[in-house]
Amino acid sequence: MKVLAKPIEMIAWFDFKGRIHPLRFRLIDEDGKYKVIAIKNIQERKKEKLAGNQMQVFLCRGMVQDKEVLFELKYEKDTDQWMLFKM
Amino acid sequence: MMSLIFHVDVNSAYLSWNAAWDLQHGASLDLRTIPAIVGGDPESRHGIVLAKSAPCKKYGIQTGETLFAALMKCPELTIVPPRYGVYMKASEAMVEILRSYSPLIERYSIDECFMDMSHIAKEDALPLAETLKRRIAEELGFTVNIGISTGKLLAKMASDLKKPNQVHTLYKEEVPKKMWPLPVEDLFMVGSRTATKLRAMNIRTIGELAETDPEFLHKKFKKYGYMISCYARGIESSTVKNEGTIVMKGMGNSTTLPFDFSDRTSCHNVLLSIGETLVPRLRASGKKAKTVSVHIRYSDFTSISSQRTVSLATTSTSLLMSIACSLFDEMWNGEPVRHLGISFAQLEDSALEQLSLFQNKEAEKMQKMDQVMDLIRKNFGDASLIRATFLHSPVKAFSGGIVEKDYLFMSSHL
Repeated sequence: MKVLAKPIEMIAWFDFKGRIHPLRFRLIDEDGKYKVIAIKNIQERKKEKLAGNQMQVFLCRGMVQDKEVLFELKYEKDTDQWMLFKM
Repeated sequence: MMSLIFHVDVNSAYLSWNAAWDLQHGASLDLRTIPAIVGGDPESRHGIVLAKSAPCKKYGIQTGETLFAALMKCPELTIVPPRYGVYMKASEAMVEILRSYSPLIERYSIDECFMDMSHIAKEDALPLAETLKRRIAEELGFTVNIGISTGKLLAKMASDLKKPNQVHTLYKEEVPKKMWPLPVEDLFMVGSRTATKLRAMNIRTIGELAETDPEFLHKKFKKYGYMISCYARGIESSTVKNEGTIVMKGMGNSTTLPFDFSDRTSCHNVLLSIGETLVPRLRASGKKAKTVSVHIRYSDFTSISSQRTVSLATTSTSLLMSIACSLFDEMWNGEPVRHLGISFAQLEDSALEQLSLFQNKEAEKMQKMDQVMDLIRKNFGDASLIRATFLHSPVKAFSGGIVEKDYLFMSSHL
């Protein structure tokens, strides 16, 4: 996987325990167009607190151009922003 | 139960914290591995080096020198702006980890903490400190130095011994071997001016200072001389104080002007704008001030300050500002001004009221107005209400200090 750190727009649902389940997200590709990626499953969840900044890390699988790809998403708690960190 | 103190000191704090944050957000380069500094705004006049990475040392870059000087020494230097919000979070996260090891933590500054570890055995100190250091590196992504001793001074000197990412002990019996060979300016509270005077007396190392007769030092430097004599011998007895137990005795703020000011009105405006950040801070901390002091630094770097004490402590912005402006008028010699500062001393709790026979009727009105202004600014932002004098002035409506409200600067007392 390569580090991209690309900002994305995300749809996610939160269960009764406050766990976040990302569903699908979209990013703006090189042509300036929206590209939607659906998340098939979440392989691993991690928490990061580098320099005191809390982030939730999701290792997921999804379909990109008919191929199943592994990627890493990050959710920044203080700003509520998501990014496609690695793909 | 013997006294045991840890001093935890983040290595190149601002730079390490910038580096960790950048990596978390996808940066391909770790700032700590290249010549890099955290510097103030290079566009305004006064960017200085706030922190430097380890590779900067071989270029001779010093913390505190101007960005211009640093770039002369290393043209390929990477300069990043400070992120005070990140620093506060990083500091808070570190203290949270420390709290799981000791109930008594004193935050000495944004990147240094004293921990009272008297509840553990001396032989467990070193392994525990190593564990703590490792945990901070793993969980938070930056390295610290930890100094161990029976007192705060020696613990602080210990953490400074060799960096980065190390644990050092400096117990009383180790002082001659580890501390006495060091140059005298490495001793806590000995600065470059004192060091120059000491060197002129042939005192070059901390050991030589320790061997000098304390009476002689007292004669030359008064109480300070006696203090550094004790420090050189590792004698010091201050305790680790938890948050909220230190009484605030003064408060101040200052600013360096974007260019030298030579007219009275602009200087008054700067004082007013400093007041607009400083006096609400005074009120918010529940204090009122009795003494106002103003400090002027001229373009040739000479400085002067003057103070006045009023009979009744006050929180009124207009009263305190009129005193500040009048102090300025008294001492200003007409030369161009580079830097201005205001500070308050003799603080009292504003809840306690000293009644006076000579009651100022205006005072109650002023107090109500100040309260309303604070509330409006709190609800709608500082910029919602500014003094008319700033409308067409080069001076900003609010000056001084940094944007983050509760930032922890260092004190010089143990």
